[in-house]
This record gives sequence, structure tokens and C-alpha cells, in this order.
Amino acid sequence: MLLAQLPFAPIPKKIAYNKKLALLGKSLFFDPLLSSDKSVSCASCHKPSHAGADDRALSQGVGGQKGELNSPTVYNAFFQFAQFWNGRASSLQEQAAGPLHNPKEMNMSTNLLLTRLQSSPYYKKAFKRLFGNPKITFDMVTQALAEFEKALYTPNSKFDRFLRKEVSLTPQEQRGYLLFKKLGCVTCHNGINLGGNSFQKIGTIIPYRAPFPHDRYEVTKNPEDKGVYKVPSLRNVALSAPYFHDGTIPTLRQAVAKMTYYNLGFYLSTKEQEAIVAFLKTLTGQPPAILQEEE
Amino acid sequence: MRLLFTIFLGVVGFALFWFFQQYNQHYLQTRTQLSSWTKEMLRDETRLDYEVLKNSFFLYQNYDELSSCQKRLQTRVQQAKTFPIFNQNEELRTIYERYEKLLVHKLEQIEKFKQTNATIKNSITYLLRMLQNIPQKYLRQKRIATAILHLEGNILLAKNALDPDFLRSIKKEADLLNSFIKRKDPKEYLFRLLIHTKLFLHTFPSYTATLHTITHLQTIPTLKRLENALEHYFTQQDKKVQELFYLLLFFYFLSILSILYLIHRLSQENSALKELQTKLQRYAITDDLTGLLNRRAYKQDIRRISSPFFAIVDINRFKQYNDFYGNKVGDHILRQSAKILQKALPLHYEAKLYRLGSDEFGVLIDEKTPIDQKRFASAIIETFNKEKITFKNIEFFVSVSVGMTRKRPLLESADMALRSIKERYHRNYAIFSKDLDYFEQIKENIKKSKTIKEAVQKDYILPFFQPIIHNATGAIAKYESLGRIREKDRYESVYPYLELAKEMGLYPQITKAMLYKSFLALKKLQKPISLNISMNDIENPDILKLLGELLKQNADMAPFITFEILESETLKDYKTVKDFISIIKAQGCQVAIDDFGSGYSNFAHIFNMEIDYIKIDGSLIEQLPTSQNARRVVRAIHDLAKESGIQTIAEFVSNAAIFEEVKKIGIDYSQGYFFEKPRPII
Repeated sequence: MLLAQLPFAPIPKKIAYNKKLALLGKSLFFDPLLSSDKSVSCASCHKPSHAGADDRALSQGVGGQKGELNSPTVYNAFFQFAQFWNGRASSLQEQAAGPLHNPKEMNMSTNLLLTRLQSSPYYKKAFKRLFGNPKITFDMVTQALAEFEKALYTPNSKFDRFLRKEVSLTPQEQRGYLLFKKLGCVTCHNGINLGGNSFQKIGTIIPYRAPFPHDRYEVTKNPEDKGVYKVPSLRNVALSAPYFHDGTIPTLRQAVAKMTYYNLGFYLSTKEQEAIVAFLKTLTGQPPAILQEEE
Repeated sequence: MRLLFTIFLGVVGFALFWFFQQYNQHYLQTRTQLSSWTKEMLRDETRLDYEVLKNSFFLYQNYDELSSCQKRLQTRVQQAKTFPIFNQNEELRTIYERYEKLLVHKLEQIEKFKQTNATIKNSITYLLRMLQNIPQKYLRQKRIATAILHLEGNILLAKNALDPDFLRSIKKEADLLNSFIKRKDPKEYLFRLLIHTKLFLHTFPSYTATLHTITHLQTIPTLKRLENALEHYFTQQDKKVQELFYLLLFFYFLSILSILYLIHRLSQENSALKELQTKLQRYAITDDLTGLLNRRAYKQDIRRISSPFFAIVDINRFKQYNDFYGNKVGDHILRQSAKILQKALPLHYEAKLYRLGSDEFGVLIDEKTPIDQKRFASAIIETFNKEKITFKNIEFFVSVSVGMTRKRPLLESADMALRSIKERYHRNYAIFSKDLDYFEQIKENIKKSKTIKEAVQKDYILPFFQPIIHNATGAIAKYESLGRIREKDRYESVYPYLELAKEMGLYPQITKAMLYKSFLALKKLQKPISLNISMNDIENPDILKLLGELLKQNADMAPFITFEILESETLKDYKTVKDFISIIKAQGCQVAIDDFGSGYSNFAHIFNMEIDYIKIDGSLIEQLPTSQNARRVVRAIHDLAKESGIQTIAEFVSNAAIFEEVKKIGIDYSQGYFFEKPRPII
């Protein structure tokens, strides 16, 4: 109860998921068969080497088409209250359908996808074993993907261990942590994921001048929601550059400075920036265990 | 029809039961589902409100729980759309739709709250930090310092009291402070302070409005209204379920009643069937005409009786009634006879009466106490003598014969007894005894038929001769030719075989053999002989032809030949016999009547024929020494014969006493064992 009063919570050391289903999801996640020209897989934009996010500012789909947003990380996405930048999907399973069907991303029709999987002896066998049904359905595919993504959690970051009082932070990290709370970062970046639980406007105080593709307005059609996006999680933020919805900010320090300026209305000193960055680095957790798992 | 109805009831009952089961299950499921749904919604709504307030109250916040509450409510309120109950009940749907609308609105407001809350919190945090760092130059200017402190104080008051009334004074102070700003430099303290103040001023009204909306939206009361409406609805439904249950119970009892009724009817029908069966059985074993039991019944009954006493009651000369008066009278006599018979039998016999043949009645008694057969039979016979049967004023004197038996097979042995009566005539009842044993006779007959057949085939038939003595002289007057069968070294009389031979069609051959061999003996002996000839022979053209030839060949022998004809034979066809006698008399032969006195022949008829001798029946002769009556009858016959110029012969003279009597009467000739037995060659 005391922890529940805190603005933060550690990621559980272990969460329960269906391992066989998740491993099938893992195969699908890394399989370019899921894109129309077999050029990209989920992992092409949600790179395990890059904390489940994309190192490119804008992600690339089939035929080298550029998207309009920087791919958010799939790591710890399970803890988010909604998926996509604008939160149009309420679950991971719902989200998984998006990129598959998006013509700029994987550009797959349900039929083509199922035909491809059905003609693969591996998938045919794997789905039959799991679902007891020789006919693969789209729902089964997204279920498997969602189950894999659920397993993509990064526990035991230094910050989590600090919250559990297992370690203490360095003086600089501690300073950063206090600044994080004191300056008001915490008002949006709170909860288990330090974000991912509310929609906020980018540039509340100083207007942020940039295009806002696929913002919350696209979902609600409420003019107040223009430039409103889901607050991204700060978990593993040190590993997932570039930053912001459009991937225009290459470094974490710049991201901290810009966000403070536009959304809090002030400039941070270099020391303050460094302290906050040091704190943010404590949010890097262990890579998801499932990535090491073999079927 | 009734069965169909019961099946229909059963089916309806079962269907109702099934329906009830399904309905009830579905009903309980729905009820549980809805009840848990409303409870969870209420719980999450309360939690949501708590989280909103907590997040607005604490400076540090965590939207996780709030978000998941939102998400749960969102999912669950959508899920309720699929509840069929909201499609079935207008009122419930209206309330639900209202609630859904309110909730969706509330959730939108919460999203907005999260935004404005962040902004307000950021500004408050920032403003508080600025309070810590008021530059020295402003601290020295009292008006500015006071304005800053007032501004900050009012902002904190406004925030903590959630009261927009402070906004006006905040704005006043902000305006005042704005007048001190020399250049718009983001690094300038007052400039930064005022940006946040303006943001606060801008955001706060919508923040408080949002909070107010969230806390005042009638979601929970609406949800409670929905809950109450559901409760009411289910109370109504409970009544329906109960009604359905009573209906089910009603059908159940109806089915049971119908089945009971069916069982009742079945048992009724069963007894009716049984009655019919008994009737049919009775018909099957009843004689239509007399109402007595029939032969089929007899066959069934004899099997069940351990010590049977059985009698056949036969109407004497019934055929005459039928022939003379027609079947109608015959039937009447039979019906009446059945009644008389019933009357004749004392009840304690527990006798069963049957009509066995056209004029034969059967009486079957289980002989528990010994029955005096004589009294039994006499009772029947006398009752028939007493009771008269009349038909259209014609009176019939119906007499009966009774054949009784205790020996199985009953019908056959009683019949044997009956036949023995008909043969004797001097009694009209008889009981079966061993000497009447028909079965022995059958065996005997089979044996006999073999013997006679063989005898005829192998020509073992030959005449023996017995001398006939002239009483006055004691000399042999002639010989009677008697048929014998040679069987190995023995000879036996052919007479016991004759009836059988007739039936077997061997009789003419026996006669032929006898005639032929007798004529041979006659030629050889040159002495008179007496030949037996029967009606069968006389009527047989073959025999007559042979006889004619033999007489022709031995014409000189004719006077030596006497033909013996049985008295009883003359009765059958008087004219034929008379013609035959005339013919052979014309040939020069003589004629004798054999066994005279045994039958009832008309003396006038006999004496009208041209006969030479009368041979008086042996049964009368045997009795001569002992019976006065016999002596009178024999004397009368003898006298009558004498007067007609007919000579007499006594047979069966087996001792001196008889012979004495024979001579005393004056009979002309004698034959018998007293003189000589028959022998092969004279």
C-alpha cells in the first residue's frame, strides 16, 4: 500500500505467460514472411538490439516506404494502458494487427498471411500443436505475437532494485531522481513504466512547432487533442534513441532539455541535465529473457 | 387414441421439463452474470473516483491504477452490450444506454483530467520551486515581493481549495507583476513566473470543471438504478420461473393421472379379453346341438383324470329315427337325451357329459369312491325308459345301451364293452373286461390274418369229416365236411378265421378249396356228405359257377350231397336263399338248416322252403339234460319238423346223457364228440 502511494513501481521479476505460445509469437515476430514482399519483420523496426525500438528516426516498411513516426519500443508495452502513439489500440493483440495490415508497413492481407503460414510446415505444425486446430486463423497469429510481446519485459533495472531497496543510487543519480520528481517530469512519467498511462500534449507551456501525424486528435476528433500523444515509457530510454514521436532528437540529453523546455517551461543547467540523464540510465533493465529462449 | 394422448402428454411434459431446465439454467446464468457485472462496475467506479481524487490531491502521482480502472470499465461496459437482457427489456436498455453514455463521457473527462492535472501539477511544482529562488533584487522591492508571495499563495490556495474564485486576484497580481517586466527573456524570473501563472490561469478552470464533471456525473446513481431495475426485473422473472414450474408440475401430474387411467383401462380391457377368451374356450369345447362338452373337451379332460370311470351311452337304433323322421327329429331326440342323461346322473358323481359321436354320449367321472357299475348303468337305462321324448305329439321310446370302462384308452375300451352288448342283446350294459380286450383281439387278428393268408396261399385248407349217426340204428348216415387249416403238424378249425377271411377277400378261395376237396372225398368215399354253404357263397357267381360244374361232373353224386345253410343266413335275403334251394333241389341235392333255434327266424318262412333237415342249435342240445325249457323248445321244433316232413339232427351231442334225451325226443340223427371228433379221412 505504501508502494502504491509512490509514483513509481518496479517491473515484476517474473510475469506469467504461455511460453509455448510466446515462442511461436517469437518466430512470427522475427519472420519477414509476415510482410508482403518478405522484406521486413516486426523485428525490423522493433529491434531487440535497440531495446525494442528503431534506431532510425522514421521506420521503414515494405518497399523501403518511410513511416511518419518513430517506432515506439515493444519492451514493457504490456504495462501500457494503450498501444500506438495515439493509443488507438487497447491491447497488444489489437496492436499487432495494425502494422501487419498497414500498407506502408508490412502490407499484408489476412488471406495472404494465413495462406503463407498454412503452407509452412513449421507453422502448420506449431499452430496445430498449440490450438489443436489445423486451420490457422488471424486471431491465433495476433494472439501468439501478443503473448511474445507480453514476455518482452525488462526487470531488475537499477532503479527497480533501488525501489526494492536492494541497491542505492549514486549521488548524481539520486540528484537526478529528485529533480525528476521536483521539476514535474513525474507528473506525466509515472507508474510502472514511467509513462504509458496517459495522453499529454507535447509543448504544453512553450508551443512545440512540428507536424503531429497520427496524434490523439485522429482518434477523438477533439481539437484539444491536437499534438496530444501517449506519454512514452522511459524504461530503457537510454538505449532507444532517437527520441520524440518524430525521432528528431538524437540524444537523451537533448531530449531531456527539450522536453523540460517545451513541457515544463524552463531551461535546465548542464549539471541538472546530466543528473537527470544519469537517473534515466538506471531505468535500463535486463534484456527480456525470452530472447535467449529456444523452442 | 388414449395412448397417443398419453404419449403426447409425456412429450409435452418432457419438452416442458427440458425447456424449464434450459430456461432456469440460462436465467440463473444471466442473473449471476449481471449481478457480478454491476458489482464489479460499482467497485471499479468507486475505485476510479478514488484514484482521480488521489491523483489530484497528491503532488506525486501514478496514473497506472487509474488507467487500468478506466480500461476495465471501458471493456466491461462494452461487454454489457452483448447481454441479451438489454435487448429484451426496453426499460433496462434505456437505463443501460444512459449509463454507458455517462460512463463514456466520464472516461473522456478522466483522460482530460490526466492532461490538465499534469499541467497544473507541473506549474505548481515549478511555482513552488520559484518561491525558493526569488532573486535578491525582487526581495528588496517590497511591492514586487509582496505580489509574488500573494500570487504564489493564491495559486496554492486555489489549487488546494479547488476554488476558481482566487483566479481573479491571481490575475490581478499577475498583471501587476507583468508591468515590472522589462524584456521578454525566458531566462528572466518574472517572465518565467508569469508563463506558468498564465498556464495555471488558463488550465485551472477546465481542470476544476473536469474534476467537477467527473465527481458529479451521475454514473454511480445510474448504475445503482440499473441494479435496482435488474433486481426488479429478476423478481418478476422469479414469478415467471415459478409459474413455469407450476405448469410443469401440472403437466407432470396430468401425465401421471393419464398413465394411471391408461393402466386402469388396460386392466379393464384385459379382463374383458379374458372373459372373451373363456367364452371362446367354452365354445371350443362345447357341442352346439346339446350343449354338452364335445370330443375335444373329452380329449383334454381324460388327460387330467387319475382314476377315470368312463361310460358311452348309445341310443339304440338311432339311425332309424333319423331315417324315418328326418334329422330334425333326430336332433330333437339327441337334445332331449342329453337332458335325460344329465337328470339320470346323481350330482355326487361330479360327472362330465360329452357328445362323442352322432348318437353316442360320454360320461366321465373321476372315481374317488368306487362306483357300482350295475347301479350306474341301470339308473341311466331306467331313466331313459321312464322319460318319454315327444315331438309334435309323437312319442318316442328311446332306449340306450351303456358301455363302461376303467381302462385306458377309455373311448376304445368302452366301445368294446358296448359292442359286446350289441352282440349279446340280453343285456343293455356292459363293463369292459379283459376278455373283451379289443387290443388283444387286434393282436390276435393280425396273427390270424397271417395264418389264413398263408393257408390260402399254400393250399393248407382242407375238409375234416364228422360222422352223423342215425339214432335208430346207430349207423353212420353221412359225414359233415368241416373246414380245417393245416398248421405244421396241427389242424385247427377254419371257422374262427372266416370273418377275417371275408374282410380280407379270401373267403371265396376257402369255399372253393372246401368244395373242391369235399367233392374229391365224396367221389373216393362214395358216402353221403353234408357241406356248409353261406350267403356270401350263394351271392358269389364264381362259387355258383364252380358248384354248378362240380355237380355237373358228379351228377350221380347229387343225392349224396346235403347243403347246410345257417338259420341266421336265411333272414338276410330270403328270396335268394329260397331260389338257391330250389336250384340245388332240382339237381337232386338235399338241404339242411343249420343252428336252428339260435335266431329269431320266422318258422313259417323256414318251413315254406323245400328243406330236408333241421339241425337244432348246439346250445339248446347241450342244455337238454339240465333244462326243462330247452327240452320243451327242442321238442316243439322236432314236432313241428315232423309235421312238415322234415328230419331233425342234434349237434353237440357230447355225452350219453344228452344222447339219451335226444333219443327220447325222437330226433332222427346225432353228431358230436360222444360219437366221434372230426377227422381228416373217413
